Amino acid sequence: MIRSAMALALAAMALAPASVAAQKAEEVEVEQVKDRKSVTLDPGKAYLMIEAPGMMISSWISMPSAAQRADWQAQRSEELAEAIVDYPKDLARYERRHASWSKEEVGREPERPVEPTEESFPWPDLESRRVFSVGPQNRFASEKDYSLWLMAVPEGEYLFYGFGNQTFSDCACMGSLAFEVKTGKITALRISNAWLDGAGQRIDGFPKGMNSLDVQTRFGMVVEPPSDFSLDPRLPREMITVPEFRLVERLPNWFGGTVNRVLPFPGLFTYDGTKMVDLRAAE
Amino acid sequence: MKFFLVAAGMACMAAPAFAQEAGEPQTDIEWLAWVPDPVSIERPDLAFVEDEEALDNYEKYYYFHRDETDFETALADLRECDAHSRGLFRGNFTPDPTAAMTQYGPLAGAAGGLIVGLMADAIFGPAELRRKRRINMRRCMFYNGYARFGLAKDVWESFNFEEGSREVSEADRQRMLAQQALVASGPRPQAQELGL
Repeated sequence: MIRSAMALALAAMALAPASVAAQKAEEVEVEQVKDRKSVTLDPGKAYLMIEAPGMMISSWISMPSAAQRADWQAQRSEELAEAIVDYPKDLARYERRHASWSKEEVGREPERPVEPTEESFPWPDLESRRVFSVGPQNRFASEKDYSLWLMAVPEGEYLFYGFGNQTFSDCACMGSLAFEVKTGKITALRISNAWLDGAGQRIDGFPKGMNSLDVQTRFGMVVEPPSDFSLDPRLPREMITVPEFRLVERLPNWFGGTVNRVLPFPGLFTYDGTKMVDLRAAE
Repeated sequence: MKFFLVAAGMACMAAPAFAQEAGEPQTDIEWLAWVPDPVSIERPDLAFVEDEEALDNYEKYYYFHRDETDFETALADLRECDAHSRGLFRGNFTPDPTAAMTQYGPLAGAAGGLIVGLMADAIFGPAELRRKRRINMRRCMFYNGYARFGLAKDVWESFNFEEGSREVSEADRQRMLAQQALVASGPRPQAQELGL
């Protein structure tokens, strides 16, 4: 299964230029709540609050609705239909170029176009177009020990994608968490990085005696319930809620960054190798 | 611009350095699914003198090993980590991963995202590609339960490849991954484990 998926994705890379331009994904509307003395929240909106130990850039996926998925699929079908119509012309053009190239065999051999079919036509994941980053600016609150970002977002499921933005990303591709953000609630969680030793165990403080690549490799991601720092007095306490998490074992490394994973959390989940084990099910 | 960046990426998959053997795969897609008989794979010679330079470079030049692991499993694990490094791994981020595979068509792309990655790589060059691959292989194989051992650079280069600076065809990539799998599933090394 993995092998065939990789093969197909490689083929998608090869085919990418044909269809990338046409896709239109609805942007995720994220409205930052500014750091003011008095804050009024709209009970008709859903809020996401991220707590971190300092200025960090985190990335999140707003999972698409059924309607958005249907629209994405409809766009693909439309583009595929056009590509099928164009294919005989593309093939004829290739045959002319190849015949010309064959006489001298100078330069790169023209590549035969792949016949567009339901199976072969490339189309990116809609989720890859629904990644947004939070921070490091626009903090709702900041002190020496913590930063808070508060934003109104569309109600629905969200997924921690990792740290950094789309150009420099450390993706939680080998283990992440998803959760619901509901209208009328401030769904709060805390994120951070934690240093690891050579055995992969969490350590306090900056690791000593490591070279630069060890330092860049040996840390994990933390996603956990928020601390008391999230109980900002400007926010109605009853609106703040801690989400139930869904375990997400694998994510595509869409932006070609480094891959990482969220560290185990007691009572919630652990890992058996690369498999996430839900500890709630055992209770 | 995007087209040229993708084309440049694909151009890195050209001209194999190994001679083509009879019965070997003909296309990149076939190479990705290739499962050779381990007897047909040349086992790398891991002998080297452990001098100061070699020790300093263990962070970059290494091989993996896991006990009680057969060749095919090791090859699948190395390919999974290679796919993570290249952005080819599809993931299972929806509740029903089968639906994720079919929803956008099986060829749904890593393509869009990878263009962004390639743009970053175009700016920061092969050093960034090398750095990312080293980190990704170390993390991914560690989480798959493999121990890591150091190698001298020239020994490492005989059955490994870097991203970015050297052209490596899909055929060469898969041949070297098969050699790495042979080592990973072979006799347990006597050297000291390096950890994550």
